Amino acid sequence: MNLKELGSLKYFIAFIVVFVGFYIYSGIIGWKWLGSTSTEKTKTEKNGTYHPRYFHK
Amino acid sequence: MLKDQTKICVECNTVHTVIGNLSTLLVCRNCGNIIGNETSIDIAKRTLIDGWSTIRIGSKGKYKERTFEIIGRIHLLLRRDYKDFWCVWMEEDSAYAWLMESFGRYAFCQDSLFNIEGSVDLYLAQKVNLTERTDVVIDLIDRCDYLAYEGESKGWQDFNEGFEVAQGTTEKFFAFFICSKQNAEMKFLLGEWVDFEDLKLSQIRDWDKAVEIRNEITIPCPSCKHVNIPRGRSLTLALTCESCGKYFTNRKWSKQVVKFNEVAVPAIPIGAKGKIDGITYEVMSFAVKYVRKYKYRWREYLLFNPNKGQVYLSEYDGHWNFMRPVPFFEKPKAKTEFDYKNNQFRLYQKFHATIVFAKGEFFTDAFSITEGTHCEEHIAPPYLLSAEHDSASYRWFEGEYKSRDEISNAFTSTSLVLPPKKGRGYTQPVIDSFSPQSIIQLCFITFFLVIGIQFFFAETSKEKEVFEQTFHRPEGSADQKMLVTPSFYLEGSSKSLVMQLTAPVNNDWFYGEFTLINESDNSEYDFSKEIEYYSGVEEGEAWSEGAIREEAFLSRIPGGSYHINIYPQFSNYNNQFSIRVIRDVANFSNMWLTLLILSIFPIFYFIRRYHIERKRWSDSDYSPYDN
Ligand SMILES: [Zn+2]
Ligand SMILES: [Zn+2]
Repeated sequence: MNLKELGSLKYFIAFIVVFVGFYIYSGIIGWKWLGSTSTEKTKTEKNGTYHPRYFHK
Repeated sequence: MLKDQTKICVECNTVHTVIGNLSTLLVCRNCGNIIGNETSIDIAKRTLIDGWSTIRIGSKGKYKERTFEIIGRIHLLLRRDYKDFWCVWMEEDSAYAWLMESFGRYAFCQDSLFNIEGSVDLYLAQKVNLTERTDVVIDLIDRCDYLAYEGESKGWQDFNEGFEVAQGTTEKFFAFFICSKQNAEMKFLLGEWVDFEDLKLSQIRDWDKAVEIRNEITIPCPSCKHVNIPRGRSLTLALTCESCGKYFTNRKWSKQVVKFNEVAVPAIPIGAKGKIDGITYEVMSFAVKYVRKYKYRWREYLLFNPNKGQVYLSEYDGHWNFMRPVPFFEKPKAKTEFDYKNNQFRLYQKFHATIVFAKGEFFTDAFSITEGTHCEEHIAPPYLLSAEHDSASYRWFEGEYKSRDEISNAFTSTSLVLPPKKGRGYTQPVIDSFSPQSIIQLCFITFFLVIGIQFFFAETSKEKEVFEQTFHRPEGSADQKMLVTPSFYLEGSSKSLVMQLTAPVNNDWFYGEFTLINESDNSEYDFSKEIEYYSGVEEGEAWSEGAIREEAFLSRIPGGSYHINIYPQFSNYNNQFSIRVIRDVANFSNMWLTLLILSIFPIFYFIRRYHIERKRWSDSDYSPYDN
């Protein structure tokens, strides 16, 4: 592998850099891309009362 | 002759000073007159016609840290080659040597000619043992048809042409055999190959300094009598007439005159100069070659540089290969696949070609030699390794695919109309700009990096248990009630959070809905988990399904105080469950996903490559894909 060849592979190398960077970032913030338990993120009013929920039968 | 003695040519009055201490011959460098002869042989005056050598009498150079000066030469014109034996004087050692020059190849030879005892019959590809260190392989059997000399020399004895010669080579050594007419003995010169640059030659002449060229030669056409002036000077052994286009040789051993039935126009004009791989070459000739077996026709250009020798450009369907002679190569016997310079070559085709059209000048009788030459081409795209052999020589050429753009960029001073590219060239790489090795190397590096990072994550993740509790079914309640955990603290910034849910069920289930609540901003994360475990024995075999533990993996949970609201749903039999909350757990699935995504391009590339290689080899009789 020489410099000329690295130049020709620049798009692939850039993709590697970006993707590996994203992988490292995900590892740091504890983001599992797939198979993570799906959560529904909501915000309730402070001191809000408990709302009855739908229950599984 | 005495060293430093002054001698004057009686014919042209040129003054000569003897440089060596044991010179046996002194020939006027100006007119060729024999000034001094101590060889006991009658030596006739000869006309030395210059070739394209840049070396001349008076040139200085260096070999193995020893300086030398060129003091004379013996010029041998062979049928397929020429040899200039430049006589070298090394003042520091008071020693002589021969510097052999032939088509850009140089060998520094010892000054003595060794005798071979007894009768020796040399044949092509023979291994000849010369000394305890050297076995040379004979790659040329030829005949010296003309020789000439100039300046000083020592020890040379064969001054009358018409003797047989042979060349033996190894990677390191050069041997030149002379079957002497003088005393019917076989003798040889032995030397080591040396690169032109390593000789550090000075006081050489520039390429094409016509002012220094003596005895410009002319070659009349045997057919139309037109007088041709060959660019290759003495090196031109065959040419086509500028006027009538017929091909003829200018040597007495071959009187063939060829009239071609075809006409073709070279895409690169003869005489054009181009720079390929950093070396400037001049186009000497153009030939159209044809292989009857495959009805295959291609064009070949002979290019020349005085210090680097002859090279070829061949063109087929707009695809180009640049070929240069290989100094020495011994192919492993009976193998169609072998390594050369770290590439694996494979036999692609064997053929005999004929020249159906030619224009320009050739350094051999190209027309006749091509007819008798057997060619074997081996490829490792973009590289090419071709063997050519006939009754008298064995030659290897190494080549490399060149794109149309590379060719037009090489000949910038000439405006070329190059043939358009059709299909895929047989040595054209899948992608010109990088090799499969580069992709593999890059993947290896990246994969090790990613795996390394993953190990770092796994090593450094805290996996800290932040909460654990077992819950029971609230007493006496038919309705399911909400349970609330005590609050727990998650350290640091955003990290993963794993909640393990265990319920001791058997042939039963447990279901829970959970809300993780951030107590500082009241954001909620709702999720649910179900546990099912069934087992039994069927036809004597135990079976089980499900598990009593499930895990919820929550991504990107910021730090802070949290509690979990649990809405459990119990079955009729099970009354308890427990949860365990773990902060900062590494996951491996991101790594596998990363490796998979980064493999997409290489996998695509190698699939495409496989198909292209298969197609490439479908035109060959020696395809590795055929069984
Ligand atoms: Zn003279
Ligand atoms: Zn003519």
